Amino acid sequence: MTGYEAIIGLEIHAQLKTASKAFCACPTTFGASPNVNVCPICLGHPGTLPVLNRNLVAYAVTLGLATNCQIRRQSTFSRKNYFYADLPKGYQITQYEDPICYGGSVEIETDDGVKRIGITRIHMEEDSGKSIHDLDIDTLVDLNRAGVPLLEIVSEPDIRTAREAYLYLQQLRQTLLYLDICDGNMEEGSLRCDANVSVRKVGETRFGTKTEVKNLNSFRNVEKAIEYEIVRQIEVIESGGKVQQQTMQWDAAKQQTKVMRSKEQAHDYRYFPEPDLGPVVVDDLWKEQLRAALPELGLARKRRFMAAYGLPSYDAAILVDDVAVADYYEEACANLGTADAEAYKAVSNWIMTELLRIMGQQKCGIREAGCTPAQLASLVMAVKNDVISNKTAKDIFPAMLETGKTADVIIEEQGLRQVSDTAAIKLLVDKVLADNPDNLAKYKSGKTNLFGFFVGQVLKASGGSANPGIVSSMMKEALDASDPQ
Amino acid sequence: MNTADIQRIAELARLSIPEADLEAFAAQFERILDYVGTINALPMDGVEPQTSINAIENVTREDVVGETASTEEALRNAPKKNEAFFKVPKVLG
Repeated sequence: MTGYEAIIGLEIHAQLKTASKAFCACPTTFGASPNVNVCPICLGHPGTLPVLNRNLVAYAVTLGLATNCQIRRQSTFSRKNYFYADLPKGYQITQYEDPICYGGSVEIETDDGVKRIGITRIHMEEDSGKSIHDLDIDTLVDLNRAGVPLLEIVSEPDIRTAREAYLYLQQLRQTLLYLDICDGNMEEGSLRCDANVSVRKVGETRFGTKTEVKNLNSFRNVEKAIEYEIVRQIEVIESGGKVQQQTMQWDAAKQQTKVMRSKEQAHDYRYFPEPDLGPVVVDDLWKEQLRAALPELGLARKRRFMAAYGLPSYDAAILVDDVAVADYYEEACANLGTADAEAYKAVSNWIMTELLRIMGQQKCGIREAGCTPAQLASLVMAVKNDVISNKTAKDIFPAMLETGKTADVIIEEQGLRQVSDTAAIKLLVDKVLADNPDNLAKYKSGKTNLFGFFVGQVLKASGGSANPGIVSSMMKEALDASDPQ
Repeated sequence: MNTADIQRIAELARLSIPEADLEAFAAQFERILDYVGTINALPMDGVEPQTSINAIENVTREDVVGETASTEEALRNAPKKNEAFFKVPKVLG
């Protein structure tokens, strides 16, 4: 669809990993039996009063600082009024006019280079309960989630493609995971995303009419729903119509957006200041304490991995995406006992091929994959020091996982130390040549592809322990030197 | 305030107001708004909006789990329930 550009902004809701709810002391555990994490406050009983969870403020400021936001010294809560069965009070406690964080940005790495996506605001609010619509006649309500703390992160309309939206969401999720304030699970709903999408002709400076797309519960769906909505809107305009301001819902089964409500049905939330909660003040002392506790974030760590370990961008991006994998990588490298770019890359290769595969198969973290950083380092160093070949390393890797022993121990136990002793290898080379006069003659008459045969015979004679590199060069030397028979 | 405003407010508050009463409510709303409207006549330049009448800030609690109600207690006053759930009229997802 040339001639058009899309204007996209994302609203992301991140459920926080606090122990207790935003305004009462109920636990926030996911997957509990229905209506057990509840008390008179989050059930909305008359006469109860909310008391603010200090960590909700701390986490909001932490995310704000990590995304280059301004932190508002004093901010307040508001009531957002609407009737819904899973909102027991009849209003949601949220922030409206003075969000705690504003004016930040997140960097994303696109194919065209680094791009900054602005963050308009980050505000604190409470989650609603959960409605279950499975029954034919009635709706069932579970209020365990009611009052669980959320951060709403609103981006500027700086995003231009579905791919950029994907990358921005991924970057923000990674930041939340690095800060350890949200578990980022879109399928379980601890990270949710709505997209505002409009299109306009290239060169036009005014925004087109936007639609809001809801129910994007996976990264794939975010990208596909935005892609679909862009094409839909352009088709409406191209056929002479006008885009209606509507709230759309992504139907993952049908792979299309459908109208949820029109502008006329839009809610009128009648926000007003929450009289039950005093203002939140984040003074410089608190702010600087939280800033000092910020960890190194994903993108910074990726760039450091490339500079310090000489890793390609591709490797570094994969390793830092999971903070536990990145920590593991650094620990394994520290265990090498040497600063060597080749070994650093080998550690990365083992993680990306073997360990990530095991993690995927067993749905486990890297620390549960069965191989400690020290074990992996011993394996990499055994290859690097020519103690074993790469092939032998691959062969003993399962035994390492199974026994928990280091590569060195297994090599000694199984007698796998490869022979790099040139005198011993020379004897084998000479023997193989002597035992195969026919093939030697063929080789000399031009069948040079028999070289692999000779090398293979020597490796076989050594029981797999001969260093293939040395065998290869010594065999080449011997063949070149021998006279045709 | 006209009758359409009253209808919209009633809708938002999930109240049903008989057609015949709309005019009367509109007049009453008008009087209330007029009364509150006298504030608009005051000189408010340079006055910060006051969101709380208490001179308090940062009334917070530590992030520690406390006592919860039992499911039975939580559902005790529910007009309708289904095992461990509140049961409400069908809401479209």
